[in-house]
Amino acid sequence: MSAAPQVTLESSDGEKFKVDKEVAERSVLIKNMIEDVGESDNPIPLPNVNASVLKKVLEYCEHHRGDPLPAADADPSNDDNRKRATEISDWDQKFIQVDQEMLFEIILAANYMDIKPLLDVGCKTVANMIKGKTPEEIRKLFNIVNDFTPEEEAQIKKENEWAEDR
Amino acid sequence: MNPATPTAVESAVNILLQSILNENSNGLEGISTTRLSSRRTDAKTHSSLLAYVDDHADAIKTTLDNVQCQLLEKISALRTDHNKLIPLHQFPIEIFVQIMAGALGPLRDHNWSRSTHLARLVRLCQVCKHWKDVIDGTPSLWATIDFLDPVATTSTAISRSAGHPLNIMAVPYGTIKFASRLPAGLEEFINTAMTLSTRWCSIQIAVASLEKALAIMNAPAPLLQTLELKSVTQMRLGFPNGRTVFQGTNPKLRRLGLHCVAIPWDSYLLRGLQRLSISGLNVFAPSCEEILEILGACPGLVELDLSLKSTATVEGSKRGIPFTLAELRSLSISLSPSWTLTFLETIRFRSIESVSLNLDLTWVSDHLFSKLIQHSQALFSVVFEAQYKLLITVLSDDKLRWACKPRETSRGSRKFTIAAWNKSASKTVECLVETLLNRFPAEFIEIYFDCSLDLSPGPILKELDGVDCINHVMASKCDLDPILTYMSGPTTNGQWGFPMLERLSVYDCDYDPQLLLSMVEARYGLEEEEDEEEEEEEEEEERSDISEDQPDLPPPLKRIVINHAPGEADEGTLALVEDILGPDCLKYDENAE
Repeated sequence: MSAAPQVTLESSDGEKFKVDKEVAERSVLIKNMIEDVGESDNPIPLPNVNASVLKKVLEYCEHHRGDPLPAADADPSNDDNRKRATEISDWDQKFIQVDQEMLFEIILAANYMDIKPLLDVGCKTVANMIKGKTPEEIRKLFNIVNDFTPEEEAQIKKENEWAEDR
Repeated sequence: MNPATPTAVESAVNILLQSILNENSNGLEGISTTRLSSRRTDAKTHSSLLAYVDDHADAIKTTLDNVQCQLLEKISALRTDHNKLIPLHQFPIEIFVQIMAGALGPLRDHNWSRSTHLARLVRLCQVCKHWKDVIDGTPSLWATIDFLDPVATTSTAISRSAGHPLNIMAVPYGTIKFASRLPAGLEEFINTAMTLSTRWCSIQIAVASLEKALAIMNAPAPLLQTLELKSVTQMRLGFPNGRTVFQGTNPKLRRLGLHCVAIPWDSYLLRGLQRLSISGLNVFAPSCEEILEILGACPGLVELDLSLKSTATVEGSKRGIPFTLAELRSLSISLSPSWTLTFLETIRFRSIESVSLNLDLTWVSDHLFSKLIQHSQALFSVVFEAQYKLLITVLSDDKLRWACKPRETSRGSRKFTIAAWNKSASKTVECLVETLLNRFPAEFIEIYFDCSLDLSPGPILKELDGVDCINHVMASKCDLDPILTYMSGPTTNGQWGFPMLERLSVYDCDYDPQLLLSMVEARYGLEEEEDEEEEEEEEEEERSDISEDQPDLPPPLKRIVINHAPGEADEGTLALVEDILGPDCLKYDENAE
């Protein structure tokens, strides 16, 4: 029995990762690169992803290697799609329990490498962090400062007074 | 660029103030000179001098206000610069919008309140200018309107949604089930929504008249995917052929909910659905055969909720050829037992994750009951993999609820609940023991006694003789003594009561602490020492007679938790129990209400 074909990925800081082609091709970017360039022993450079993030991304791809790929034309206004937008599987929840810096790096890497399910998990996680919080709590969570002038703030509060107790 | 130090800022402010004072210094000197001679001036001159002074003061105030305004704007700009640098704001705008859209979903554990989409949206607008700018400029985020929102906000949302398909909530707060009439303002909101029908993507709408319901069904709605039509009273809509519905413009309806509204059950609207909910009907309800036909025409159904009060039976009717709803993930039915049985006998499930069956078992024969249990337990094996455990709850008034729940705290959607009413709990447990319990490995099964004190768990316990797969017993507000006695020795089949039990949790139960101690002593092979030698010898003889048939001791208990009413804990006896069990195995307190 022949071994599964493998490819080598190179992170921005020069670390090389040898992985099954099937795992690497969870990334549409890599899949397209392989298709364009053809089979090659040269490492595929990923200049926007460092080694620690790439390791994490590959862990995700390995776990989901057999999953069906998402439809490219999934309708985001679809109710079911929206409902699923808030649900994260148990494994994914544990996987994404990382510090905020790493979480954002994973999201950016998933976007760059075009791994939609991972991007969705990252976005859902950030969305769930925001849910139910007051503006002040959100600012504190992400180190945002209130940049409205007092007049602007008073105006916004007046306009949105109705939403305060909802 | 070095940040401004407090000293540098102070210095800048001093220079600024000096500049303002210098600008006005000629005027002030003029006033001072005039003042010396003002004693000789008349009242008119005096008044004009005062006005002159006031004008100068106002001018300084205006200048200061302008300076303050400019400084505040500068501070705001610096803070905006800060915000531009934070990691969250490095995301491409489409990712940021995706996060915003996700954050606008309702909170899972706050379903009882209806915080509207726009209320959540405007709260997010208050975080910072970047968030406000992104939200204001994203039509899709404004495309959900709710009757509960203020009219002005709804108008703003419609305007900002810029032609994006709309999601409309035109239903009153709370359940419509108990509403006698619709609230003021809803009619006007619905009229506004009607003018936007060509943009409807999803609409939940409550109506009080047949005319209004028909008007909705006749509106052109080419984009409509989800329709939930609810009525205060039961009504039946007649549309002779499918072409008249939505003026023939609706090719995309995938989710349909009808509450107290009947439509022709052979309508093309009931084909190819992904979600179907029909509730609140009795006289106009579809027959069991019609339901099966509808479901047969929806092979891609994902979610099904049927709550019908029809008393018609299906015994003797044609049940049709079994078919599979391969995509169905969520099933909730509240039907008559004979309908439920027909339903479970006819349909196969492959992907089901969530099941809720509500059965009123009044007048149900033992045969029908057994078959129901048999089919229900077959569903269990489809729904649950090994990581789920079985939870059996014996409720007060001899009702019984059994459910599966995830082993770990999980936000997954899998659940299985059956509420069985008006049937002997011990009878149900008997069936469960025969068919269900043995499917679950020991560590996945808990039994929960939540009985009133006038219901003894005794008869139920008898049915559990020989069941060696229960590892956790919970008891709440019930008479614990029969359970403790049951656990204290061999049962009718020679095994210990709950032979594999590891955990016992007790909440606010009446019990005899001595029975608890005896139970623990018995399960740990400890016997009370008798003072009188004669009695000891007799006991010894008895023990030697029994010992041949005595089963091995059960495994040690790992955890006992007892929650008492204030002042009810017998600490002395509990300390003796703790001595036997070992440290950290017994936990008790007095917090029960």
